[in-house]
Amino acid sequence: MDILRKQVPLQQWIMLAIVAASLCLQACERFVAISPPEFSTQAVVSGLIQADRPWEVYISQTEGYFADIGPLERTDAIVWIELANTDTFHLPYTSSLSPQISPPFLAGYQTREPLPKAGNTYIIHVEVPGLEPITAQMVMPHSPNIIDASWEDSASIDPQGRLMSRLSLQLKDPDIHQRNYFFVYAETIELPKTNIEWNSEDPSIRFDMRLAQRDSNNIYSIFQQAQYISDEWFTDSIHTLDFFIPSSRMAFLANFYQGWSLKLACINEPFYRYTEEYVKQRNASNNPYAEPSPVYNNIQGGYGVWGGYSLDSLEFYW
Amino acid sequence: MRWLLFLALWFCISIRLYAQPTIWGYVLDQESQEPIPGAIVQIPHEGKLIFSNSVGFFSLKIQAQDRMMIICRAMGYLPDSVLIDSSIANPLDISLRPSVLRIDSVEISAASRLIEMSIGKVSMTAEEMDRIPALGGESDVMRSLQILPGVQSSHEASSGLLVRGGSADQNLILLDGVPVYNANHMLGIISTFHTDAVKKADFYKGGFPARFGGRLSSIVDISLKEGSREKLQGTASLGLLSSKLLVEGPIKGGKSSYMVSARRSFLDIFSEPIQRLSQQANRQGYGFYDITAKINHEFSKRNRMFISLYGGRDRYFSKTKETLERAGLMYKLDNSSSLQWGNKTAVLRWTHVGKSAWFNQFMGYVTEYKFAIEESQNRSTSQIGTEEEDKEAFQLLYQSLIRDITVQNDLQHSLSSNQTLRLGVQGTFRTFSPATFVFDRQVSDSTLRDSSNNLTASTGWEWNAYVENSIQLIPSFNVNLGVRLSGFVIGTQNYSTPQIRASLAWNPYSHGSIRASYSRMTQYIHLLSSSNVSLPIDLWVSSTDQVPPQQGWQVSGGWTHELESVGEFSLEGYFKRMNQIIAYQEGANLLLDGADPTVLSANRAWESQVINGRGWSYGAELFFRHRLDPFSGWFSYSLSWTRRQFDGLNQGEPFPYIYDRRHNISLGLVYPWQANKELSLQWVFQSGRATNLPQATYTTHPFFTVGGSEQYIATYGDRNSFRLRPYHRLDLSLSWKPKKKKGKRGLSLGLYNAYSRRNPFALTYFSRPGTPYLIENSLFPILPIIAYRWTF
Repeated sequence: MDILRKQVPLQQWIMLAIVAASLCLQACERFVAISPPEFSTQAVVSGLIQADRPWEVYISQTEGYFADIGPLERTDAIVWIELANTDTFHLPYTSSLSPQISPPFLAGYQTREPLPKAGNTYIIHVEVPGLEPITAQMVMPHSPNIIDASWEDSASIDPQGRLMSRLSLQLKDPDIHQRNYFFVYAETIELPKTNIEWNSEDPSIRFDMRLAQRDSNNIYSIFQQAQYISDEWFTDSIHTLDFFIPSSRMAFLANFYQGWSLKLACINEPFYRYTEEYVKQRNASNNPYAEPSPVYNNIQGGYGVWGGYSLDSLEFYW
Repeated sequence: MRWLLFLALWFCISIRLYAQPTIWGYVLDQESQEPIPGAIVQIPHEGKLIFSNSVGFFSLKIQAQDRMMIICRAMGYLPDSVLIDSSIANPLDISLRPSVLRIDSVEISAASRLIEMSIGKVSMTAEEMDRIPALGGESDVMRSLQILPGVQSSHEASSGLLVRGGSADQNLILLDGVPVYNANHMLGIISTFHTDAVKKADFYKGGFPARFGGRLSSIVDISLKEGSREKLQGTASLGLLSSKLLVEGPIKGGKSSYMVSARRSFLDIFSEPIQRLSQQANRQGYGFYDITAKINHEFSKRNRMFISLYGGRDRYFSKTKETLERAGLMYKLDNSSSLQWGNKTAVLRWTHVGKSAWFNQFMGYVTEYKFAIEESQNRSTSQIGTEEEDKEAFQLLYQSLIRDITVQNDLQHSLSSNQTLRLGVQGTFRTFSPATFVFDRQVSDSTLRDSSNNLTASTGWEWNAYVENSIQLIPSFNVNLGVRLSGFVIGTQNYSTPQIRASLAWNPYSHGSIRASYSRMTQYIHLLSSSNVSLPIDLWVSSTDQVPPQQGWQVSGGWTHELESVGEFSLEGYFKRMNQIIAYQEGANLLLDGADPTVLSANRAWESQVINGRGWSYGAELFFRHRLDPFSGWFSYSLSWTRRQFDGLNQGEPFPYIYDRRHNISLGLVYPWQANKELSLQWVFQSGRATNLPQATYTTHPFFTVGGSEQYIATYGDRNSFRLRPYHRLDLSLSWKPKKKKGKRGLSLGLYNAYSRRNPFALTYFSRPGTPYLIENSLFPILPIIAYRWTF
């Protein structure tokens, strides 16, 4: 260090330190805003149609991910549905939506006749002014048959060591020659035991239900306490699904409701894949360890989902 | 089978055993008597040459002439010549004197390089690594290799290597012949190798000799110093990132020597007392250490033994202690969590020179990489003024391990004055424990243990056998031809593959060579790594019946030309194919199950979260190493394309690999400024990294609303279609090596990222009210380089 002191005067060291410090300070802002990727606006169809219920379709458009998101719904679209080249009918826009799905969401395109039927192929065509016309096709699935369901109120222990009730659901696969998909959930029946005034418009409550047959082969997703299941691990047409239901939750709900309903739907592939991939994207959105996940899209020329389902249900009383 | 017949024929023809006398011996450092690996032993009038092996051994068949001259060269040493005749007694030890003047060192290394590069190998000594300006003044083996064309880092300051479009797990990093699975400290900022303890690093990115295998993209063969047999000496250094100490010396009568080095960072030691004094409820810290030791003993000139040990660990920790008083109750919370990872290796080597100068090396080693995440939480609640407490505690341990236990034997023999035969066998017992998850919960004396999420540990056997023949057909034409047979057995699954290796070098004139090579490689292990981040928690997994081994082949060709008294220049092109590489499925999640976020992904077999695909890369590489007096330095440029294709990603269409960087430039300049002072400059440029970004958004079907709120879906364009800004950086350093009466001292001062370029490190979506906002984060602004070294 003596050599350093002799050869480089102290003032020069101070100057050097000041220059270095100023450069460091200049670099304190350690990020740079960059231009987002380009995109083109496209029409979006959201249609998950229940067999034997009125048609309800929602039309909107995409917006830049990094842009200010304004209203996306489109009320000026022309929507018609084609039934396997035999029949065509229009879905007019109406602001009064079905009581099953409440505002304040998208305005809907709906009609009551003809009702969608299981087994039929439906093609939707949509023309939105200023955007590319879009089309999509789907087959309405058949209803699954609940053959039997037994509920063991006696408590058992799940793999995580929690106290559980066990539900066994025996169902008939609508068609063993093709891939089928289901969703299943449980919710209370609107028969409150008490005189409590419910603020919610829909006082029924969904409760947690977990598939017990978890292994690396079965495919499932969970969203809003509904289980989405593929039949690729079913071995024959009659299959039994086992579920755990938290005993404490059941005991609590039994204080207020007289019973609960088990809902089982057979859904088609677009519905299943849209759900599965949406759940993945949702879970991955704030997780740096997760892979980016595009969501399934069966709309030609646009985005969204054109799918359907048929529902069966069974009621239990405490 | 045709290739087997061809090979058999080749070896039958090429093995021409003449009754020639053999000379053998060791190339040694004159000062320390340490062996010098990679030295060139040449018979000039016959145009024959041979390289000394990893323990400095060489053997040559010579013509029965009266006298002949042998010249020996090595990087960092002055050349020496020896006059021999057929009556010479073995062993012939050749001692080389370390070069004093740097310019000599450069010249000699250039001559060596011309020959080495002609066979696809690049070597670097610790001295050369020290001359490259480095982050924190910490010279580094792996980052030094990043100046070479075709080699790039994954992110800012990373010591990880990405070679010719390969991924980070496709590099075989050998420390004294033992694979090291995670060669990173500080999340990749520096590598696990202490450069003072390193003698030499050999690097292959193509034209792989048959004696190496197990990875697709590159081989980094690092040799540790063996310790001076002459005197006790050492080096101590202080840096911003860590401090190091190395001691070496003889043990007994010049027959044995040792080397011990240790390195430690002080971030945790300094930060914890400060946090303790400031009475912070939450204290965090990070630290790492590594220890390297080597001992060798010469039983006789024919028998030597080496033992090398390495152990290193990184540890990040966080501790929280809080006490709260509320509504007459006292709550106590004691949290601690840590993430730690590290490698351990141990190797025993025994070398024996047989009667006909057959060199035999036996090795047995263990290598292990392990990481663990630990978390413990203790809570207690009590009424103020009473001693009774309600206690609750839980502990979580998540750990992963890969361990190899290997025995191998290698033979080397000079069949004639122009042929060297190598053959060997290797057997490895490998244990994978990709993810073990243990959860303990204790409430009022009852304990609940949940180990149900364990991925079962698996074991596998890997075996390898190779034969390799280096032959000089005519003085200007060298061929290295070999075959490696390898296999892997796991459970009932049995994989085996033959791998052909061939490289040709032709010197059509005295200052240049033309080369070509073909290599086929197989890799039986995979690294499960998210494309977004590269962390020590990436999981090493085995090939299984569902996930086959990675396979690859590469062809490359090039031209090397030595510009007289200016430097050397090389131009190379390559095409590489990688099959059965793996990637996470879209939406797959490293820690949590993509389908059910309430369970750890370990609950689901990892095979169900990955898909197989293929990749390919091609490009051209230019390297110019110059010594334009008084300057010396290098310029490297690579132009490359790298693609991946997976049926389940990007609709099955090929897409750019995340590290598909079109242009890579590295420019270095060293200026000897006054006596004992040297100015160094390095400038690097890399095209922007490819990444995925959402492009547009739309609302979900109302069926998916949550709590009355609309939900949105993001759309992505083609995978990795968005490019970050280019990366470039200038580093400056001044090193000063004043001579003292006792030992040598060295001081390095400089600037890392001298013009404070805000280089892209990661993208963040910043939420302004109602709008996501896209920004690029950078890691290091301008930083000082300070390092002090004392050699005694």
